[in-house]
Amino acid sequence: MRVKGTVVFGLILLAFIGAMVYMTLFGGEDGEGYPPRARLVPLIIGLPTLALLLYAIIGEQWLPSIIRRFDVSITDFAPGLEDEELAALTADSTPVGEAKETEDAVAVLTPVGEAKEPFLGAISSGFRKYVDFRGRASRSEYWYWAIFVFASTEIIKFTGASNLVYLVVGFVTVLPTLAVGVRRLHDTDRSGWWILLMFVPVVGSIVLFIWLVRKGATGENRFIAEPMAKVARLDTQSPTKNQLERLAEEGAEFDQENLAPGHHGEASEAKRVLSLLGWMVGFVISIIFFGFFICVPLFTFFFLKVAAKASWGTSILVTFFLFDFVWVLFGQYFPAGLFAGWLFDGFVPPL
Amino acid sequence: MFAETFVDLSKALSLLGEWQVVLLLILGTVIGLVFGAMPGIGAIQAMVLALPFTFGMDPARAMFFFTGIMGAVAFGGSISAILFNIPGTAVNAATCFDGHPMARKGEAGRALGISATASGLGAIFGIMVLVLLIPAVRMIVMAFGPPEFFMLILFGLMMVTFATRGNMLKGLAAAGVGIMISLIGFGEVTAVLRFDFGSRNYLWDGILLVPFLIGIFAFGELIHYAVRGGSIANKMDSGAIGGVREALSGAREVFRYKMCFLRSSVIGVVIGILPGIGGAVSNFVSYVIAMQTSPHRALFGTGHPEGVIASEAANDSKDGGALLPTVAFAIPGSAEMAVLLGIFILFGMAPGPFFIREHGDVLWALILGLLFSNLLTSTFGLLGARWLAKLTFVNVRYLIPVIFTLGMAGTYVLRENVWDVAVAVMGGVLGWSLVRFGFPMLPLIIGYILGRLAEKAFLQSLQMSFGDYFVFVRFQGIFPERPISFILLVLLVAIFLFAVLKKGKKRAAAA
Repeated sequence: MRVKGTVVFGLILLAFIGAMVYMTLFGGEDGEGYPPRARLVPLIIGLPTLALLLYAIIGEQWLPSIIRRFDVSITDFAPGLEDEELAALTADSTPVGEAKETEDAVAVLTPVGEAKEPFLGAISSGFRKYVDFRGRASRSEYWYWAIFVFASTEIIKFTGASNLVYLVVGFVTVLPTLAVGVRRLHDTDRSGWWILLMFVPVVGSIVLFIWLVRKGATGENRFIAEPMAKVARLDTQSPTKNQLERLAEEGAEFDQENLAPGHHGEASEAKRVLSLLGWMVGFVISIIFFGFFICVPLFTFFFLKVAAKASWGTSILVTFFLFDFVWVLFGQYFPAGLFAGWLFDGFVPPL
Repeated sequence: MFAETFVDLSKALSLLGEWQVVLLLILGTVIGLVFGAMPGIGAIQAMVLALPFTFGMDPARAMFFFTGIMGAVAFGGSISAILFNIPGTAVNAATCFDGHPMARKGEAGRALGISATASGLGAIFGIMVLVLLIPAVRMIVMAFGPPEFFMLILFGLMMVTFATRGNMLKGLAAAGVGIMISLIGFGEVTAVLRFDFGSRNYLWDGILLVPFLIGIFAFGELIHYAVRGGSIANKMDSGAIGGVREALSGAREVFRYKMCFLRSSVIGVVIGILPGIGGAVSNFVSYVIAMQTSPHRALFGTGHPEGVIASEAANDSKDGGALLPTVAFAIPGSAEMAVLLGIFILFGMAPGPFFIREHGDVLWALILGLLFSNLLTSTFGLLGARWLAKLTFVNVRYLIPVIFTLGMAGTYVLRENVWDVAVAVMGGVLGWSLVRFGFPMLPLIIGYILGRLAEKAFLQSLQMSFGDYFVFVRFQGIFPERPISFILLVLLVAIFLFAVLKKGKKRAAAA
């Protein structure tokens, strides 16, 4: 027999409230329940709650329809409800806070090839075209590279490595940074020499910044073809079959798993809930042992990579910025900081 | 008297001409927005942490900093409530009920516009009341003793029956569970340890508000995300994500539901003035009353603008109300005000009846600071809504770890007890299960917030009357001894009878 979730949850609540009522009656210090005044409210509330829960569990499932007829609902109590509203209420019995399930499969289309891993693609192309000052670079290519350089220097600073490491990384990245900047300028239909603007204080870098974030010229320009990968973009998140077929013809690959039927099926719900709960409980337990600063980056990264199947670039970026934010706001600004972990002498108060 | 007030006002106004003061105000506003939007931490943490930086500053100037924080926090909290169903601070919890469904419909920009406008106007309303009511505040504070509180809270608890959708019995059961959870720990009046479940330390303080709310709203929602997949708002093409226009259409909603806005602001001010109830109650009471009096009752909980207006107007107008007893009698109306009281004392100013006379410029600095900080945040909200709304189109797979981590960190830093984090996760399971298995969530939270307050007020009333249960309705001659409590009780009974009679009539009509 398949046990309904409602019954299980109701029984858990029932046991919880039952234990409270029992403690009120017999618990207490001397085993004879709480003193009269402390007993008043728990009993006034606890006993009816117990009865209501019992009814909610049994009435929902097994009570014959004769008894169920006495079930009251809001429509009996709320004064002044008009007829059409009554109809609306009975039609829409969605509890507060619950979303109506949408049947549409939700597609998250990821573009092909280089753009599938835009971050890694940008890094690899940055190194591949180490001193290539010809051709064009897309916005993602340039800015993911910029983020990569920024992040790597920040990480080195954060780890407190010696200046030598810092210097080496600087030397390694200076040429490809220049090259990708020149290529980005080509993309906006400008001469690469404009990169020298960065030596003009303040104004130069502002102008350069604006140019570098502008969209590239469409089609071919004097610096050859458009660099944009064939990116499948959908305006709606629930694509029709036609759209999917059209995209398939165009050669776009997308995340098949997210489109598979039964994605929102009943059978997978328990699995999804349990898997997320597993992550949450695992995170809490590891925080108690290892503290926030080890667990936050690990949890975020592994969750994104394993559970959310995100790309390497996204995982690393989200982890990096989240950790940075938590570290600055909670770790630095709050005097006591975040929990250090039981293994590192963090204080775990007795339960 | 009038001339003095004018001098104080002009003194405070002239401060606003200094760029340092304007910078302080803007800085405070930004800090307030960030701390408000982060789950767990709120105005109290921001003010306490900002305090050391204001030492050596002139008190009137420092007040611009603190009011910047106070004014911005409530709107900051509504950002995360609307976008992710996380009440950024406890006072935004009721915003989740209608704000987040709006975001799901792809109307996050509009919801943020509503929230920004309702917050800003609500705060201005509260400040106006503060200015007008300074002479009458003593009467209001003195008129509310424990019996009146109890009746007021009972009123709020009775609203549960109207707030329930679907199965009424499940709603009442959920409210009962909420009240029972609120009773865990040492009883406030009796000092008896109840429902410790064998705990030797943790449960003695009870289940704390912030971990519980973060759990039940934010983490419960995360489980829901994991089941649903996709992004928060699925219909990318439905609402015109057309920039400022969408936020302004939200602003227009506030003027469309004028009555709802005014009613909620008044509720916010009144609850703000009453000491000991706190902001967490104001938005729920206002939400439920709006729900009950609105002609569009059935739409509440599905993303109805009035729900957002009610909650946001109340939680911002309460600041003005709470400031009143704080400066006039040194009775803080909420926890933030208690911190502010401490700040007054640190600056060597004694709050109380003489405060207005001796430190009039500081009072006006507070008022002007609140005013301008709310204007700043509302402008920010209306202009920034379009970018914030884009977050609802991000795939939830990426949001889950971010929200979870921030929620955990926010829960922990509140009192540095690592078990709070575990309680939040358990609250998440509870919150998700409630919705999934058809138990309404609103009654449980109302019960949880009001249960302990109700018990305290009830037992205090009994102590006042030496155990006489008729303290609420005793007569002296033909006049009731406590008129407010008596009138509230009569109203309660009348509403109940009305509902029952209505039901009887309906039965008769059906037969």
